[in-house]
Amino acid sequence: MLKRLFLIPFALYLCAGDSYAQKTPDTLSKPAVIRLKEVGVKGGQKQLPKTSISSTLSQRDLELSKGGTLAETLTAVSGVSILKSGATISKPVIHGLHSNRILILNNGIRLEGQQWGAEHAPEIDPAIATRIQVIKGAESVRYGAEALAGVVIVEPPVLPVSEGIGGTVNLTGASNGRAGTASAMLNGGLKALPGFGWRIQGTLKKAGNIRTADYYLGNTGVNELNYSAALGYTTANSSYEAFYSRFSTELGILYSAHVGTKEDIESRIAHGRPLESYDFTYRITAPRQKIFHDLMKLKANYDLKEGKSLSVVYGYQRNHRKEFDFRRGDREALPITDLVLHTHTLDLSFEQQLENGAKRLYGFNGLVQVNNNIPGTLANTFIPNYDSFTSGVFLMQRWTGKAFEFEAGIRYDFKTFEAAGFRYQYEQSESYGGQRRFHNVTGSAGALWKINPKWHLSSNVGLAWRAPTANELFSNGLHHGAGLFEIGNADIKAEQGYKWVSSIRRISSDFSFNLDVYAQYLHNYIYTRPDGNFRQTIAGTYPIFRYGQTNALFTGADLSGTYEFLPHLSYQLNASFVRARDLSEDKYLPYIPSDRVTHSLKFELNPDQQNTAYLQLGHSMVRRQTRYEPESDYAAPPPGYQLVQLGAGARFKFAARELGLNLTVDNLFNTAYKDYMNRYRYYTHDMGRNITLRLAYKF
Amino acid sequence: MNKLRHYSLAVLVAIIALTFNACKKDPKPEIPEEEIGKATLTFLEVEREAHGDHFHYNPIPDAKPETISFDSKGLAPVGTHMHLTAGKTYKLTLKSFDFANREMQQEFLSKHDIHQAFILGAPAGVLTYAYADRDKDNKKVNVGVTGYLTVDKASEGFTFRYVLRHLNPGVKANITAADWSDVNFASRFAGANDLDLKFELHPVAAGGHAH
Repeated sequence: MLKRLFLIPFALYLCAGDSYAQKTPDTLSKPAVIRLKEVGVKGGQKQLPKTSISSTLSQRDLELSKGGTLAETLTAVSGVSILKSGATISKPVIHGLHSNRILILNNGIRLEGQQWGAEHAPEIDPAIATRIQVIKGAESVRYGAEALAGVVIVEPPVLPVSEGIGGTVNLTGASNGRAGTASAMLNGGLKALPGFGWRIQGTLKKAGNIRTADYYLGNTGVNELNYSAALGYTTANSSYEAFYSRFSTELGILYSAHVGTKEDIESRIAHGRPLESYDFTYRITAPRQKIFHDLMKLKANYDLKEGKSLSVVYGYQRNHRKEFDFRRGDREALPITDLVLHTHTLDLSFEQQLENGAKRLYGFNGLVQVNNNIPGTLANTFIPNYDSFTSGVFLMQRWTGKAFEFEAGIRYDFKTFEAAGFRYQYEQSESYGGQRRFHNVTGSAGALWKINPKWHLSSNVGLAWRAPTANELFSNGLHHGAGLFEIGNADIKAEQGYKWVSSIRRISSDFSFNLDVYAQYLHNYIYTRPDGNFRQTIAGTYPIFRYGQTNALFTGADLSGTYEFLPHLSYQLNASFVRARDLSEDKYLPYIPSDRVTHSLKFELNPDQQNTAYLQLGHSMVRRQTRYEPESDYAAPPPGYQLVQLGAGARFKFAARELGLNLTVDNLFNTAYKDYMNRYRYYTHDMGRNITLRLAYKF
Repeated sequence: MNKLRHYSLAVLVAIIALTFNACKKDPKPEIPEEEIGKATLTFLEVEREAHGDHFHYNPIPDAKPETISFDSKGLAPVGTHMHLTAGKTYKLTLKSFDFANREMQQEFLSKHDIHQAFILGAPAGVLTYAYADRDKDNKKVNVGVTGYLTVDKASEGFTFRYVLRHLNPGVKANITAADWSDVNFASRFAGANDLDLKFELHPVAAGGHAH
C-alpha cells in the first residue's frame, strides 16, 4: 500500500517534462491520501499558542467578506493592506510587501501563479476557506522561499470521517457592479466506510462595471467560476487525501488605464478621472485577462511508533494566463500574452515527539517548474520559457515549558533557473536567457512567553529569501497598460530579508488586544526605477524603467483590539503604519501603504444566545502618503480620506441548521476618493457606495 | 526499519526525479505583427475647387508627389525639410508598413471607428485639413489615411506632426472633422498613438523661396 502511494507522485514527477496529459481523473479516483492534522500547516480546531506571530480569520469573519477577492478578505487583518490595479485586480500587502514577497498556501500547497507584476492577482477562491491565517514573520524555514513578509494560509474545512451529509450555501449580492456570487459546499461520509469523507465546492461570480461616486469605470466586469473536490480516508494511524480545484476568471481592465506615451499619461493625470464616460454593462472586452488555475494535491500521513509521524504531499498546479490588449486589426481576439506554468511540488516531513513536549521536524521540499509561451500571440514575449528546480531541506525544533515555548530552525535551499527567450526587434533580433543558480541558508528562531493567562509576549526573528523572477531578470519591452518600457537585469542576485517581529497580546473576553511591532532589513531588494531615458518608437516615446537592487528597511506596527463597554456594546479597532526606506540611496520606496485606522462600534442583541442580531457602525481613516519621491512617480499621492461603513445582521439557529443574514453598506456617504495603493489612481477614483447583502445557510 | 528504508528510497527517487527532469527550451521566434515597421507621408499637389459649402479636389496632370519616409522610430532622415506653397492644396496620403514591409494602412480604415489622425504643429491659420477617407461601402469616414491639406498662408518653418490615434471604445463618436488640429487630443480623445510622425515643414509664399 505504502509503496503504491509513493509511486503516484513519483511517476507524475518523472513525466513532468513534456507530457502534461490529463492524469487528474485517474489519480483522483484512487482512494489516496489525506490527513486531518496537517504538518506544517496548522490544522484542527485546537490551536496551541505558538511562537509564530499570526492573525486568524475565522469562519464568522470570513462570512462577512463573502463575494470578495482573497486580498479584500485579508484586509480584515491589521497590518494587511491591499494593492489594486483598478477595481478588478487586488493583491494582499503584508507589512508593506507584496507579490513574490508573500507566500500563499492554498490547502497546504504553495500557490505558484505567474506574478509578473502588480496586475496579477492570486488565483484563489476564498470561498473555499473556513479559516485563513496570516503569519507576519519571515517563516522561510518551514515554508520555503518567498515568505519574506509573511505567509497566508488558506484552509478548507476538515473532511468528515463519519457518515452524514452537510454543507453551506452562501449567496451574495452587491449593488456596485450589480455583482452576484453564489457559493456552495457539500460534504459527507459513508456509513459503509468509516473514516472516508468527501467534499465538493463551487463558486460562481458575475459582476459588471464598477461605479465610483460619480461615474462608471469602463470595462471593470468580472466572471469567475471555481470548483473543487476532495476525498479523504483516515485509519487509526494513517490518513490520505486527494484534492482537486479549479479557479477560472475573466476580468476586464479599465479602458482608461490603457495609456500610451508620456503625453497621454500626463493629460490623463491632469484630468484625474477618465476622459471617456461609460454606462453599466456586464460585457468584458480587451484589455482583459483570462486565467485558469488547476491544483491537484495528494497527501499521505502516517503515525509511526514512538511519537513519530511522516507526511508526504505532492502537488501539481497548472496556471494558464492569457492577456488580451487593444490591438490592431482583428488581433484583439488573440492573446498578447499566453503562458502556461506547470508546477510540481513534493513536500516530505518527518516529525518526532521528544521528551518534555519537545518536537523535532525534518523536512524536504522539492519544486519543479516549467513555464512555456504558447506560440501564436504575434507579439514579443515578455517572459521567456524557463525551467526551474528548487529543493530545500530543513530542520526545526520546538521546546515547550510551562510558561515558555521556543522554536528554532535552519534550512538550505538550492535553485536553478534556466530561461530561453527570443525577442524580435527591427534593428536586431536576439535570443536571450541562460542558466542561473541560487542557494541560500535561512534560519529562524522564536519564543513565546505566557506571562499569565491574560498576557502573552512573543518574538520571532527570521531570515527569508527569494530568487529573482523571470521578469526581473529578462523583461525587455513595453509593459502594456503601464506605459513603461521595462528592462530586466540578468545579473540580479537573490534577495534576503531579515525580519524581527514581536507581539504582545492581551486575551480576555471584555478587553483584548494585540500589538505587533516589526523591523525588516532587505538586502538586495529588487525594484524598478526610471533611468531617465526614453524609448522612441513609431507610436511615441515611453519612459524606461530598469530593474535594480538596493538595501531597504521596513519598520512598523499593527494594533488590533476589542473592548466591551457593556455585554451588548463593543468597540473594535485596527490600526497600522509602516515606514520604508531605501538605505543605499537614502530615499523613500514607492507603493508603501500610508497610515490607516479602522474602528467600529457594535451593538449586539442577545450576544450569547442562539439567535442574535447586530448593528455595526464603522469608520476608516487613511492618511495621505507623504513619504514618497516626486521624481519616481507621475503624480503626488492622493489626499487622505475617510469612509463610513454600516452593517447589520442576524443569525438564526434551528437544530443543526443555521441561517445568517448580513447587510453592509460600504462607503455610506458615496465619498469620491483615491487610494495611493491603487495603481490606477492617476486616472480614476475608487469605488463609490456599495450595498451588499449576504446570506449564509449551514446544514 | 523496513519502512524507513522505503522512505529513504522514496526521498532518493524524489531527488532524482527533481534533478533529471528535462524540459523543452526552444522558444518559437514570435514576430510582433502588429508593430508598425515604418511609414511614409506623400504630398501631391491638387486643385481645390469651391463647390457651394464644400470643395472638390481635382488632380493636376503633371504634379510630382513628394514623399517623406519614417523609420521604425518614427523619425524622418536627418535634415528632412519640406516646402509647401501658400495658396496650394496637397493630397496627403499615409502608407504604413508592417514587420514584413507589407502595406497595412487599410487596417486603420477597416477599423475607422477607433482610428483618427491629427495634424499638429502649424501656427494658427496656416493649414486647413480635410479628411477624405472612404470605408468599404464608399461612405465618408474621418481617419486621415487620405486627406487634403491646404496651405492658407506662408509662415516660419515648424515641426509638422502627424499623429494617428488608436482610440478607446466609444471615444470616436465625440470627435468631428473640425478637431483635426486639436492640440489637446491626448486629453480630449482617450487612446494611444499608433503613429507619431514628425518632420520640419516650411510653408513658403508663392513665387519662390530659396534656402
